[in-house]
Order: sequence, then structure tokens, then C-alpha cells
Amino acid sequence: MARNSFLHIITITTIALSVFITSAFILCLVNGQTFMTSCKQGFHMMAYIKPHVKAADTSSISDVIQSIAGIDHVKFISKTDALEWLKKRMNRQAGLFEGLTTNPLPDAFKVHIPENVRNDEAMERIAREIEALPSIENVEYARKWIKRFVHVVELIRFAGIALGALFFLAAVLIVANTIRLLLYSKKREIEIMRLVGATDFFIKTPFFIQSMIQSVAGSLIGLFGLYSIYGYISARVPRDVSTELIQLHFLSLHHTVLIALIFMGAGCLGCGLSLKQFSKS
Amino acid sequence: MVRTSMIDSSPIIRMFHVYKRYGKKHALVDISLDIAKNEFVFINGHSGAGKSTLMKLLYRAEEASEGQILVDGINLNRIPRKKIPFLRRKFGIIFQDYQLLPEKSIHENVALVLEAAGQTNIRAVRKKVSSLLSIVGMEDRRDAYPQFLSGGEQQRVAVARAVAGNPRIIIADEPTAGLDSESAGTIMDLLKRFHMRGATVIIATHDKKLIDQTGGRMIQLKNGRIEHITIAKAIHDDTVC
Repeated sequence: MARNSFLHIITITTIALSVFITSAFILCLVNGQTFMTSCKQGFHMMAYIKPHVKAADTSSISDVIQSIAGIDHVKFISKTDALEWLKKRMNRQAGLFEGLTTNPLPDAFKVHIPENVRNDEAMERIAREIEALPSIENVEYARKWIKRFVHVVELIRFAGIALGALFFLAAVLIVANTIRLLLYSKKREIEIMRLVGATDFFIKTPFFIQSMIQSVAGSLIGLFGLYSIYGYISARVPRDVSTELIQLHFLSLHHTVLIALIFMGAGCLGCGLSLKQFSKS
Repeated sequence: MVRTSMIDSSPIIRMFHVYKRYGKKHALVDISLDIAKNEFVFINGHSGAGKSTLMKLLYRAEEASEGQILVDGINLNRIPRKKIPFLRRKFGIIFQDYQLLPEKSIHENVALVLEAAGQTNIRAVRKKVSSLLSIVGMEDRRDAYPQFLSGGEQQRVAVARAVAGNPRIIIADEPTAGLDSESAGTIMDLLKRFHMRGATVIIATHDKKLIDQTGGRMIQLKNGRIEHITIAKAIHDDTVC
């Protein structure tokens, strides 16, 4: 073992790096998806009211908006409430509001859209219909950036799959190479074992155990490294940013076990390939 | 003291018109012979006569190019690859160059055979190995490594390893080559001792003097062919069983 310690270290390091990078992508993906789900759950449109509209008319405007097909419910948010909410959210930058003599925010309606209507066409139709109302200045919703974010998440998914496959292959090859070198260094020992009646199972099992230990050690190191970096980053995300929408989570136990098992599989596959090749030679 | 072991006349090894070729070179030509259970046989011949090849065919380290070989009723032409380890457990093999594992102690080298055969009871393995090492006179060196032993000592360990699995057949390829006469005598005494306990012993040697001193049957090989086979003589046993 000590004689081949360099080989073992290289193998474990490669597996650890593979696990680290693959898991990092999965972590981004999982958090991205959680974020998307949160966005969708609290999805709404903001319909800003023109400045000259009287407060008494808001109820009737609300009824008109509510009558548009595909709307769950409508909530009026006065500009005073909006400013209060903004001040609370930005309490660390309270200085920004000190110079304000008038409230620059408009009155608005928060229009909640049910989940089954949250598609591009329906959203655009609803926004157009609300915007067509004479009392409404404009309608805003997070369509564009959500679309962009979906693209980013998709990109991460594809990159994750591609890199995961690449690193899986790398793990298979590095374990295969390590085992091949070990087999050649133990060639005489194996030949003698065969001559004294050792079965293939007896000869091969220690190599499989060894590659599994390497895979598990590599996986644990990789996951621990990722967890440490995750802990470091998540502790430094400002609380202002860490809202209900952005809540970072580490990989679930299910995911970590799955990653470890996949790379254990890579180890066994690499070991099996080398043993098969060795048996033939 | 001259002893004649109880030879069971039924053959444990049968070879029918066996040929072995390496490319164009004929290593063995038309070998047909029977070796009875508990027989003591020498395979004699000069270097390159085919002694080692013939031995290797028996435990399937090499495959015959032609002909049939039966070992304890098993046709080696038909034996599946998976069953070869079980065939080899019928043999105890002693090599000229000992073939001990340098990274394992003497005890571990002998224990390997038992572990390879599936013996998992550590206490039973330790007991058996100690007993064997004491028979070959190596008990006090059980923790030593092969490279720190003399040739004679290494060969005694190799004998212990060969008989560890209670093999039915002991095969020794030039077991006394390179040893001084005292060590060679010890090795031969040990082989005779295990023969007396029921094993069939097959020794490849070019040393006719050794054959004359020991007795048994001699199969003379020349250029891969059987030149002649002598009638079995009684085994001269000076050891105490």
C-alpha cells in the first residue's frame, strides 16, 4: 500500500475534484430550481395607476381588472404602503429616504396570477388588457428576467450533465489506470495465488474493495470541500439579498449519497475494466 | 530403511497421446502415461527435454496442443476456466525458484493457500500453518521474510505451502536444484514423508543420483518424447513419520 501511496493519492484527488465540480453544478441547479419554484409560487404583476386617478376610483378599477380572464385576485397597494415596505426592506440604506419630501412611488395593484395561467401568451394577454385600461400607467412583471434565468438554469443543467459525464469518465479511467499499475506491480503475487488455487473472486475482491475505498474517500473529500465553500459563501450572502426567494440549500442527503454511489460505481467500473484486461493478458 | 507405500493401482493422472507445441517447436510429442494414486514418480531428462512442460500441463498452467489429460477423473480439455482453481487445489506445487511472496512472512506465505481455498477461520489457519512449519523445521522463523532465508530454508517453506491444502498430488519441479546436499536431503525426506501420508508425488529432475537414492518410478524424457519408463522401486525412507 505504502509503495503505491502516490498512485492512491492521485486517484483520490482526481475523484475528489470530479465529485467537487459535478456536485457544484448540481448544487447550482438545485438552488436555481428552488429559486424558480419560489418565483413561480409568489408570482404577480404590478399594475401602476396614473397619478391623477382618485383614490375613490381604485375599487372600481380593481373590479375591472379582477374581471379579466386568468386573474386570481387583485390587491390595491397605496403609494404610502409601498414606501413603508421599501423603507423596511432597505433599512440599511435608510439615508436614501432622508431627503425625500414627497412620495415618488405610484399607487398600484398587485395582480396575482394562478399557476396554470403562468405561460408567456396568457401573461402577455393579461398585461395588454390591463395596460389598455385608461387609469393604468403601465404593467410590470418579471417575465424577461425569469425567462433569462430559466435559460441560465438550463445551461447549468446541460453543462452539469456534460461535465458530470466527463468527470465520471475521468474517474473510471484514473481508477482503471491505478488498478492496472497495481496489477502489474503484483503480477508475480497474482500468478502464485492462481497456482495455489485462488479463485478470480479471491484475487479480484481486494482490488474492488481498494477502488471502492478510493471512490468513497474521494467523494467524501469532494463533498466536504464543496460544503466548506458553500458554508463560506452562504454565511457571506447579505441578509438583504437573502429573502424568502433566495434561500440557499446544500445538497440533500439523497443527492450526496447518489453522487457518492455514482462515483463508487465509476471506481468499480474502472477496476472491473482493468481486471478484465489483465485476466485476458 | 526401505519402505513401500500402499500404492493404489487406479490412476490419478492419465495422459493419452499428448502433444505440446510452441509455434513450430515441439515441446512434448505423443506422451501417453498413467500415474497411480500415491505413486512416487520422477520425470527425468536433460534441460529442454519437456519435464517442466509436462508438469505445467497437469495443473493447467499450459494447455495441451493435442491429446487428452485426465486428473483425478477430470478431463483437462473440458474443464471450464472457472473450475481451474479447484483443479489446482488438488496439487501442491513446488518450484525450483521457490516462488515465495517476498512481501509476506513465512507464516503468511503458507497461510495463503488455506485462505485462497476459502478457509476463513483465522485460528484454524494459524494452527495448521504452525503445525506445517514445525514439520518442515521452520516454526521458529515464522515471522521472517523469504529474502532473509537460505535457499534450503525457502524450499522447506515452499514444501509446507505445497502441502498446506492437503493436496492429492505434489508436483516438484527441480526441488533440489541449487541446494547443498544436506538441504536437498531434507527436502527429499519431507517429500517422502508426505508421500507416506498418501500423496502422489511427481518430481521433475535431471539428477539421476537423486532418483537412485530415493526409489520410485522414473519416466525418462528425451526431446519431448518418453524414452523409457522404469519399473517402480521401493522408496528409501530414512525419515521418522
